[in-house]
Amino acid sequence: MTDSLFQEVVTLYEKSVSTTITRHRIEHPALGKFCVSLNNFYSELGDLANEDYWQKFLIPLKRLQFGLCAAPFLKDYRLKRISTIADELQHHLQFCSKLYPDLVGYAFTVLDSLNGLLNASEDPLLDKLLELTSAEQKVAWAIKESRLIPHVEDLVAELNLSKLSIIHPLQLRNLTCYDQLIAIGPSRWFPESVFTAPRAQPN
Amino acid sequence: MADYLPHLYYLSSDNKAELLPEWAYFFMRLGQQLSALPNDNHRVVIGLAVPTRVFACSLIATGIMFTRVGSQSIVNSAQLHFIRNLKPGTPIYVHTDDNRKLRGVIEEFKIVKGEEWIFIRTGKHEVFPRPLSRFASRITVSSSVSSLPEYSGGGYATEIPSMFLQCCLGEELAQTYILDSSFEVLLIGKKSVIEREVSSEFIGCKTSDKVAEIPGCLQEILRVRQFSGANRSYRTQCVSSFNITPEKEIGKQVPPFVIFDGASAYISLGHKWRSAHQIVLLDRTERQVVDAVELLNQNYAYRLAGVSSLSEKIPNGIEMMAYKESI
Repeated sequence: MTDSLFQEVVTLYEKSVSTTITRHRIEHPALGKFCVSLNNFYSELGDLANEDYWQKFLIPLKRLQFGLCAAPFLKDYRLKRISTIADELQHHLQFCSKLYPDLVGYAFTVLDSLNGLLNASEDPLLDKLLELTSAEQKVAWAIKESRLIPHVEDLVAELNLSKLSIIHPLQLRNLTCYDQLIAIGPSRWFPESVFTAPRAQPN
Repeated sequence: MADYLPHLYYLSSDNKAELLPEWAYFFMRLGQQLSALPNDNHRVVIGLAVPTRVFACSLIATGIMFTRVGSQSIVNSAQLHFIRNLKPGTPIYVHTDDNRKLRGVIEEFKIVKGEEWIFIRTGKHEVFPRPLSRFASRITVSSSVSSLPEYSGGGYATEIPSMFLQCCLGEELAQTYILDSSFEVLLIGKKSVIEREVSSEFIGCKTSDKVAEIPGCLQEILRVRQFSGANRSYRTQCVSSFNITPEKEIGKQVPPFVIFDGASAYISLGHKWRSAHQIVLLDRTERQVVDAVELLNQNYAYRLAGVSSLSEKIPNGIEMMAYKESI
């Protein structure tokens, strides 16, 4: 009568009965400005966005935008990544005024908003996560993309949160339950089962 | 026996024996209710969306088994008298639970634990001992002369019911239960996962004096053929959801109940065994759950009627649909 598998299932059903889901909104003006300028630039480009020249400009920015919305990073890593991308794109745009004179102003507006992120010292996503994460409880941060997890683990190693796990949503298919599960990003990024078959009490 | 469910316990995280939780009894009672439904040229399909599929299929099958075990036929005294007076060597037919007719000869009659048993030889190494009072109704005398191949006389060790099974079914019924083979339930899913669940010794049954829990596993009740030793009697069979020709493994026999343990099992084999009642377990975390729900909804559109007789309260976290389908 000592099988832990059944006990795990009992816990899971108990949790699924008492789950509450809370949505937390995070304000990050500098990131918001960058996202808006990038979206505006997409609108200006129209079909040109599929051209190789602009793809090389847009893809690193889209990846950075997603990364900053999907996971918290170490400040040094985050700033280094932003400045590397900014430098590379600055170089990429050196002939833009001759190739696309109508678009160069919009492109540099995007770069300016990217540089604005370098000057923003605060990290509202990390601040909110730390506010929600209790050191005494078994907490998990669910990260949409597994490639981001090692970078988040580097951050967590410096935070002294021994009970915190960084997981991919697919890991929530097994029977492991948490006291608290924090899904980082909009709910549409995650499989429906993260919310319909919860592995924690408050999400 | 139809409504009978023994008090089953599990060991909680603080090492206390506690009654199985509400959801576990829900699955068992669902199995019981389904097996008690009349079979009037239709079948019942039950779809369940659960937070995890673990243990759901084995508990439903256990509920079915508790009802089926109680529905064994009672013999009238004239038939009993007739069979008792047949001589050893008389060729007979034995009618099994699944309406098969086995050919055999009467080997002998014996008194076991104060009860009269008939030993029927059906093959060179196969002898089926059965309690005569409960089994005589299934025996008819063959009009043709039956001949069976010579046998070496090696025999086999008779299985003894475990304490857990005796606690669940009672000593007398447990003895009959382990000797009889019948195909009551077919489980379709990942075989290794189902085997792990049914073989896990998480469950216990309390004796009538309520002193201690007797540990056991669901395999003792389900008796899944694929997880038992060779030549053991069985009640349940299990096939993999990836097996595209399950008939090769289980034969052409149609079980009364089929449980699909997961979306992929239903998608790949849901069209088979049209006359069997179906229970479809959908784990919400599975990749193919949306496809399986769509398939279930498509079939629901062609339903005969709903099922009003399943009155069980559904625990939180579980969703259920049930409908009748023409065979």
